[in-house]
Amino acid sequence: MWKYLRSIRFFFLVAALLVVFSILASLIPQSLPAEEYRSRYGPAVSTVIQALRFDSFYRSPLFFVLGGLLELNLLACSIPRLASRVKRGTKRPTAYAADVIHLGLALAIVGGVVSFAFREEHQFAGRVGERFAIESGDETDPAVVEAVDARERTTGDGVVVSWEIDLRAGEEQATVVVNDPARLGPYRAYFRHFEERGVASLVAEQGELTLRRGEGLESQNGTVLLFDGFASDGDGLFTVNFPEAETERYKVEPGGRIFGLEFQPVGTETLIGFSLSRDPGRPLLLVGLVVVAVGLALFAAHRLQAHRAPGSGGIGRHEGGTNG
Amino acid sequence: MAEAALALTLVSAFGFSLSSRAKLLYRIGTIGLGGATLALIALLVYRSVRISFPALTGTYEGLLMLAAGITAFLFVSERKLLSGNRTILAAGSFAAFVFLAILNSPLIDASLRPPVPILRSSWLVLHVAFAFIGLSLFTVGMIAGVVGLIRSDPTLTDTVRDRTVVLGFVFYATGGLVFGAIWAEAAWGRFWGWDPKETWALITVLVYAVYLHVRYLRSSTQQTARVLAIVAWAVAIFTFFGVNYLFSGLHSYALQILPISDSMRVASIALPAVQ
Repeated sequence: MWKYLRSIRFFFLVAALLVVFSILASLIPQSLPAEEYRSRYGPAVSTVIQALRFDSFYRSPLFFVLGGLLELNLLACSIPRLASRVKRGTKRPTAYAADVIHLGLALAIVGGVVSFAFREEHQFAGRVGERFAIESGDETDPAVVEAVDARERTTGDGVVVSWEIDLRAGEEQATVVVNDPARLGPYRAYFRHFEERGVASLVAEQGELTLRRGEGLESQNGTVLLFDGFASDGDGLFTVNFPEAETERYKVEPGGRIFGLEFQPVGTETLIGFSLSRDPGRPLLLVGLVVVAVGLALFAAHRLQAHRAPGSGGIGRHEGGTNG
Repeated sequence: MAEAALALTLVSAFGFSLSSRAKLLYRIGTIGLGGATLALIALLVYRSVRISFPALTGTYEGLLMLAAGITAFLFVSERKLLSGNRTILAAGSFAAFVFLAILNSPLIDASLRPPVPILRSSWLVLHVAFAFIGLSLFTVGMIAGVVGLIRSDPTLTDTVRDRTVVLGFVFYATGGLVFGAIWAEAAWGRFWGWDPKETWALITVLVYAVYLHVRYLRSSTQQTARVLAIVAWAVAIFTFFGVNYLFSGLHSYALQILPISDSMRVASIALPAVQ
């Protein structure tokens, strides 16, 4: 049994199952409501999908069992071989390439499981100046995060190159930049969204209404008037969806009228999005990935050495059917 | 410049395939490969200079890198590794021609836009560049696999297949999975999100991992390895093309990358009829 668990044949079996199930999971939309599966696939197939948890495959017991078996295979193959190589005093680092890759992958899998079990994430979306409550259940955490400021960095010719959000939690402050998370108390803060949104006012006889970009009005006959923001010259841009007719676009000067409503620009507001996360699996995953990268580099070096020395058997070639 | 490279790869493919009749045709094929490589690298540099950032984030650039990787590899290893094998050189040139023909077709958007801030990451540049170098090498490996299946004495093609797949795996796994995961963590706060592209990249790596291990089985033959190199390439190319068109996700370049805040909504406010 142990011999089979560390064999290449067992790896092929696990890899084949992972490939087949992953293909199925990529074809079946994930995390939809149960009724959606019933309407798409019919009652019989949707029952099978849900029973096997293919509606949420990467959180299913089946996936974790396969991941566990792969972990077992990697460790069972590499640890004894590594121990024997160390015992024999093999000094060439490239000789350890396959084992380094295997151990890096094993570490990354453990990191993934720890992350799945203990990762905590809070996502926030709102406006600059807004305060967001963190509901972590941990009393030592900062309870409120404030989005103090946000800005867009552009080059001289107007190309947007970066977005930044200034956050404050209690005494701590951090600037979160796109692709560059920052530490904020016990959390890592990640950039999610930045948008400057036009705000307009439409004045009707009944009163005044403020519209943000993307918002609109619906008339009693089903006509929808959407505010699309401002043109570069400051005019208002609108889309009108007529019921059972084509969509039309309008450009309206400040003070001009659209469908009897007077348009007045109000200004812009900045919408932001960010997330705070605490992930004990992150260091393990990161180290695992780096170890895999080092192992792959050693693997390439080993292959180059093997090609320079004809007759070499390549990495870990051995007589048995066990994993190489 | 892409059209020039397209023509040069075709010249190269014909040159190598007809070179048994005249040595000059072989020379023309080699010059065609070198010229195509230079033209493609120049185009990549030109597009990068235009947007002041490595132009690697679209399908157009992906195809460009794929074709450039194939022609560059064939040109550099034409004498040493390939030992002047005309079949692989001709088929490789033709594969680059096919990718360039797709790139020049109306199917692919050639417009050049500066990348949005989330795509301005050194990790992304490494991720994409390594993945496409890997895919180029896989393509040469696949060609060597096909030639090996057809030929009666496939020793050289088996060596070419083995070396290109091994080297391709190192690039693809390092770039596609490791660098991609590190970038994803910085950009979205998680290393892996089971986005269709990520899932299929993992499937590709698993299939190539099977290829790398199959040689250790006593019962395995070169024939098995040749077939696996072809199947694995089909999976890799589906990961590049198919996933972009069949599935939506963070890697669908045409889609908006950033999540939209939940405050975007249409206010359904009943007003008197606007006519």
